[in-house]
Amino acid sequence: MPAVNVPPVLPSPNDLVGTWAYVEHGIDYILVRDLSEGGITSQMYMSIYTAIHNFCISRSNSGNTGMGGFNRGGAAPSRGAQLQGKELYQYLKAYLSKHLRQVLQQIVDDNLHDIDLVQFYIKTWDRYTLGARYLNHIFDYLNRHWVKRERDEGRKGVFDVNTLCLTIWRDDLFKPLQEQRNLIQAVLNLIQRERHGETIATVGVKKIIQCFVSLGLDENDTKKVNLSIYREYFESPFLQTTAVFYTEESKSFLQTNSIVEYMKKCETRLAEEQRRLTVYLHPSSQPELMETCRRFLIQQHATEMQQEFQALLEQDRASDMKRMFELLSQIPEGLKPLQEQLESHVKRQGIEAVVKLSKETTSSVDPKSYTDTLLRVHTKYAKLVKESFKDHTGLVKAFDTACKAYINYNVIASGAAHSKGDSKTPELLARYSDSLLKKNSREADDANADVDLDSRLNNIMTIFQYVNEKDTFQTVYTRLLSKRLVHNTSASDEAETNMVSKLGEACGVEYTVKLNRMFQDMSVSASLQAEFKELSYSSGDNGNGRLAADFAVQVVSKGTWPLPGPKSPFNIPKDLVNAYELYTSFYNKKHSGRKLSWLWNMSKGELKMNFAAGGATGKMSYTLQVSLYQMAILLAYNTNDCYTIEQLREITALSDDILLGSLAIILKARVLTMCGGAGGSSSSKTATPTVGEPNSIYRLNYDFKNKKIRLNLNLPIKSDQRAESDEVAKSIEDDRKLFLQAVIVRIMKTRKELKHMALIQETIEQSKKRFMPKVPEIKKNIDALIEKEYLQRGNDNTLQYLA
Amino acid sequence: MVTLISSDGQTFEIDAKVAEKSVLIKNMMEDIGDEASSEIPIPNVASNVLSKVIEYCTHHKDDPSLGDEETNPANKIKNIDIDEWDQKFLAVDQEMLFEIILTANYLDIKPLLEAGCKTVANMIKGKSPEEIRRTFNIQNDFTPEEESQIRRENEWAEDR
Repeated sequence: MPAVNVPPVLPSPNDLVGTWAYVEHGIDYILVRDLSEGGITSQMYMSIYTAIHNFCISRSNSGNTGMGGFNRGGAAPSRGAQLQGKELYQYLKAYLSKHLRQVLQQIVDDNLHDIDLVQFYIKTWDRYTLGARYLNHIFDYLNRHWVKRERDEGRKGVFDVNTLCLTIWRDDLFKPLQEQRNLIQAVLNLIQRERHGETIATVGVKKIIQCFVSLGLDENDTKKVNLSIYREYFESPFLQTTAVFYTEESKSFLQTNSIVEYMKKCETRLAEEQRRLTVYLHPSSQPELMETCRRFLIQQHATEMQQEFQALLEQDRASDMKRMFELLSQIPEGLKPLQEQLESHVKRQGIEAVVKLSKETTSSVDPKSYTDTLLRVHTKYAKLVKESFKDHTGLVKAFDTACKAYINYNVIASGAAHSKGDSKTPELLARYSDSLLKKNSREADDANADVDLDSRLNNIMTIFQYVNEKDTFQTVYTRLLSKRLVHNTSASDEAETNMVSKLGEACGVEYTVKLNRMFQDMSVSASLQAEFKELSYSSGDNGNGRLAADFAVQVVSKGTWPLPGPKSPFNIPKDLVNAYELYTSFYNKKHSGRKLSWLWNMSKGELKMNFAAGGATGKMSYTLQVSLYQMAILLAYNTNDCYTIEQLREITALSDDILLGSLAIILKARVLTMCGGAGGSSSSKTATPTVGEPNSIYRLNYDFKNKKIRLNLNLPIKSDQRAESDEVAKSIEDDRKLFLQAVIVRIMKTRKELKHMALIQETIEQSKKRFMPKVPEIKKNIDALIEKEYLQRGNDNTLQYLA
Repeated sequence: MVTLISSDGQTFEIDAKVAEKSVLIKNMMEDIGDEASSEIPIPNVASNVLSKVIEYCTHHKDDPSLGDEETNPANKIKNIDIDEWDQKFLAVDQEMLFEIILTANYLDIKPLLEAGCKTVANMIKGKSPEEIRRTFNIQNDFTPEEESQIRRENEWAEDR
């Protein structure tokens, strides 16, 4: 241990000058002397502490000598409230002031600037703060007693020793230094150099900034963080230089670079400033620094970016758009122009894609290519919205609006052929789903049909969610489903239920109630059929005779199924009368009070044809798949080879359009041949007679030949198809009427009284999930309800509900 | 391990953890490092008192630190009771008791300082001025006039 470190004998407790000299010697070691001389030892530490302690408890009151117990080693205790220490505190303060003024003088003498200044400042600060901590501990007795008492009594300007050190640094070094040498500017210059790409000693900058933070002192509570110095001296000029720097930089950068390049620059600059915050700035500067950067980097050039968006959209530059989105989303209202442009762009893309499709197809539109076209545009931009725009609410909304527009209204959806003005999209979508769900359809033929099917059904649902007239889809879908079920052409039950549950998810259970009931009906009907089959075989022994043919009946409820009834009278062929009667009595026995309506027009059968001359083997047997009407015609030929049109009309009782339609198909297949007609005039022998001409004759063709032994003659009759689409339209219209009336009544029931306009608004609001009602349509239904006395008109254009 | 040296030159080798019950020693060891502070002179305390204080610190070495008095609300409610061990520990003659209190204050051992002060308070509690004077061997240096005036002024505080 070096000799200089050995402390002299402790001073007398009553000797202020001696005590201070003793303490000052120790402080010199702590703050001033070169550390290589050896730091302070435990002996010195304890001695200085003890000297201060002894001084503080000295100055006994000679009058109070009775408390013998307290007397110790010559240091008499002080009495009562008087605590010693003020003089030591003042001496320490003066010492520190003097020390720091010397430091300041040295800086001036050495003419330190910029980096040199910063480095020197940091070095001195490090030493000083470490020293302040020592002093705070060594003077702890003073802190605990004299300082505490002074502060408790509310004396201003008295601090614990550590804080005292900081205030003196602030007042005697920091502030004058700032005035004389502009320390802050030196720090800012450093940061500026880093912005220009130089590497700087960030640790130092961090330290100096921490110094500014610790110099902010709350006089009342020294433990509180107070950023006044940091804010006033550093942060505000820092933000100012930041603003100036980025204003100039972005201006000059844009003179030689594109806006796309500029956006990249912004991105890196923002990341840099963010990093600066974590590396050396105080975190409280985050909001204002980033705000400044955003203002001068983004806001100032927002319009230029927004103007570039259309071009980026057209060139599908997803990553540039992503960048633009991220920048503009940081400023208020920055995305608004993007939303508008996205909306009109997607809408235009959708509409143009459909126009292209309609130019490529000459005949009627294929539901699959139509749906695929809609989907392609959707998929492309959905991806963009998700990946580049992070599903931002505003942009999602713009995208959805655009999809709604082009999906519901485009050249095909509201083509000239569609007179009503309703969109054709829901119908085409329903037809596409039918083609997917139908057995043996080419859509389902792919190898990985199952996986594919589900994703295709999902595609339909994607488009479906944008469809305005969901009720039209429902109606068409129900019809197509009923056909699939009745004709047993459904590809898989699983796929059917799957699709129905998807629809349920999208529109609520109510939407699919009917569909589900249809599946139930089918299973009830199947068990009924099994029962009947058993009966029909066993009853053969009871003398009723077996049935002449296999006879299967499907029974479904009329209200649920949108099946068209027969439009023509009909005589049941006598070969089938037996079965018809047996089933009717069977059903009535099971369910009395139910009315069984037979849909002849939906019925079909198979006939075997054994007469025709075959090839070498003699007679060939052909199987014909026919409608029941065709069957009635053909069965007549079991008794005769030849009938006139009038005779056929009488036998079948069918109306002309059905009779002739059915006959035409049979003739085309050459099962029957036509001859004569029109009174057998000579001129008509050469000309082909028209089907159904009076007196035309239809003869069984014994020379019938065909490559296939199974022939399907059960083809749709043209007039049927046209009738059906009218029927669909009518049924939608009826459903809407009922729906609107139900909505209006429901609203009025809760509101009791409502203005006419408000009622219309509310009705539209409640209907739009299903379809967009037109105002005249609503008015018409309101009138209808008034007529039915559900509502009445009140004063001032209001309507009232009548219970 | 650190070595404490009393004012009369006796050395006490104790666990650093025990020594750190004194906030003064704890701070010093943090400031100048364990190495430099392995020998610590305690210039104000004689060996008989120091050994008592070390006994206390050893017993309490595993107590949780009370933390900052002002920020810890648990310390606001002053506990009047003295720990049983502390009571026995402080059952010493008056001179020793006062030495311990002074040392606790000097070395900044707050729990010991408090226990000592409570013990003195208990010695005063319930006693008349005359009894207190006797207990602490205090000479009555009031004139009778002074004394009666003080009594009048403090009448309100009398326990009746």
